[in-house]
Amino acid sequence: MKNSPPDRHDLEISVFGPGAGECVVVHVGEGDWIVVDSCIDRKSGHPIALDYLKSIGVDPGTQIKLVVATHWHDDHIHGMGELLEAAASARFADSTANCFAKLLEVVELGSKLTARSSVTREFDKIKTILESRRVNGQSRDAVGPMHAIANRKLLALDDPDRSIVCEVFSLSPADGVINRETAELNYALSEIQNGRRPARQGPNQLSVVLWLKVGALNVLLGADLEHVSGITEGWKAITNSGERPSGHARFVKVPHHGSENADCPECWTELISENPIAVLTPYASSHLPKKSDIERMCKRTPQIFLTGDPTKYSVPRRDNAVDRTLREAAIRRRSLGGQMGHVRLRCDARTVSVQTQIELLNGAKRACAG
Amino acid sequence: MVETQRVTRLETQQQGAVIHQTDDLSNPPAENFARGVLSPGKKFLVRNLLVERMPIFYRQIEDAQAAPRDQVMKSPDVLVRLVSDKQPTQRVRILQRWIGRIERVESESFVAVINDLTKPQYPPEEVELDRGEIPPGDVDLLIPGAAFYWTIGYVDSPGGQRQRVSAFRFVRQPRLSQTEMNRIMERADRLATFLET
Repeated sequence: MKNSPPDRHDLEISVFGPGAGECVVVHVGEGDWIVVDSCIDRKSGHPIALDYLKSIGVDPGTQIKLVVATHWHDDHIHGMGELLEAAASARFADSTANCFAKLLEVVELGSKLTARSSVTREFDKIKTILESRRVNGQSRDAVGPMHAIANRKLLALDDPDRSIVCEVFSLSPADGVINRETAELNYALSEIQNGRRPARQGPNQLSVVLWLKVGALNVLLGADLEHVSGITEGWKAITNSGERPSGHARFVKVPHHGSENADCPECWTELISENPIAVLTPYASSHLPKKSDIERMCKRTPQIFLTGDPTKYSVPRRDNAVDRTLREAAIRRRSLGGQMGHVRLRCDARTVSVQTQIELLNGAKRACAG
Repeated sequence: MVETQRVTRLETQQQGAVIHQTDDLSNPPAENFARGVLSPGKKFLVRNLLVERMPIFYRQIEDAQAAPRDQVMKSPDVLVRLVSDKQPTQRVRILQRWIGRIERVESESFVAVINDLTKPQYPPEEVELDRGEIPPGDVDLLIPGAAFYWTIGYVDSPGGQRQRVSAFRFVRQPRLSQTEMNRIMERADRLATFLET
């Protein structure tokens, strides 16, 4: 069962999280898949999306139709280059509207750095793949980059012979925040020109929230978008938008690892259906989600699932001499990851009333008691 | 082939005598020194050695000639095999390597996220370390975002001593010339235009 592919009418949402990183793999019907963000399975050394899809008999080269980098943060892009390379038929989308050239400048300059960042490394690969596909005659429409902004359709799989129609929309970043990315990239350029690695990454407000219509079902993938007071950015820009796709989502990838600053009360009524199934990935570095975050979310829906439990992550044992040195040198020390937890949801996408099959694999767990 | 050498010092080692040789005893340039292990019947013929100190090995050779000890003397012809002039060096055995990134710097310590290079399958760790661990020459590089390598291992000295060591080395980034930066940026802009058209 674990290694069987979904039925052609099924919606599958697989959320992976090792404690520092996340990846969402979605079957959108008819054997077609989309992948949102990427993280590496440390056991295999490869992107978890590729490992998983291959394990269930899916050909990434023909069956992945869309790869989305929601934002250029370390915990969302590990292995993205390898993933896109394998996804030969996929369109690539990211959040760099208005500043793609600037990002390329940062990547080109950053590639000259010693010990370059994972963002530079991954985007450098992606840039090369996109260039190669375009040089080989593929169109931008087929290859990307598509730049996600509020209420843009990134993908439509609506051939008349499909029994499950799929549309993928980006709901963010909003107009009010897009120019902030240029400022962040200018900062990164300046740091690199001065022989330094950029210390900070762009704000979470630049991340791409996705709305998936798959058959009769809606899915909201919240990326790391935060909830702020203004209406020109964050979740309020989405809830206030009159142009976003209609409907309520039955499945939610909780934004920003369940943090309080990403909690949007009105989203749970305006965007999300009653008693949805929600999945979140922990981010051990920031101690997310906190106990209070879990308690707050469990009041919204009892069906909250975590890909892992950061309180159970332990530092690995090494050679005795190494462990002895670590004990002497480190004032404190903690692990930022554990095994690659996996929450898998499957249900028939042709109807809203069917029961969802929920599987908790590799340390994934239910968050709410009872 | 070296035919005439002057020997400034002889040392006895397990394999035999080591010869430091130079053409000019009064001002021996270090780079002219070569070292050889006395090994009769091998490659080099050395004649007219001047010996300052009489090592055990030479005593054996000179016994027959009743040569005086501890003074400069003319040696008999001996055959020596020259070996590498490298000094015996310490040996390093690396047990563990990480690459790290500084997250924040406190007054007495710093916090970094380290990724295991020895066992990449291990998860990243967050560590807080004393600032005193950083080499004085690298302290200026201790800023958020900086990358460093952390190595733990053993160093075995030539004398047979073993030390466990923990070493930090910060990555120094190259500075690009304005011309090179302009060239890179022009290429990036051309590529962006190509990909977005």
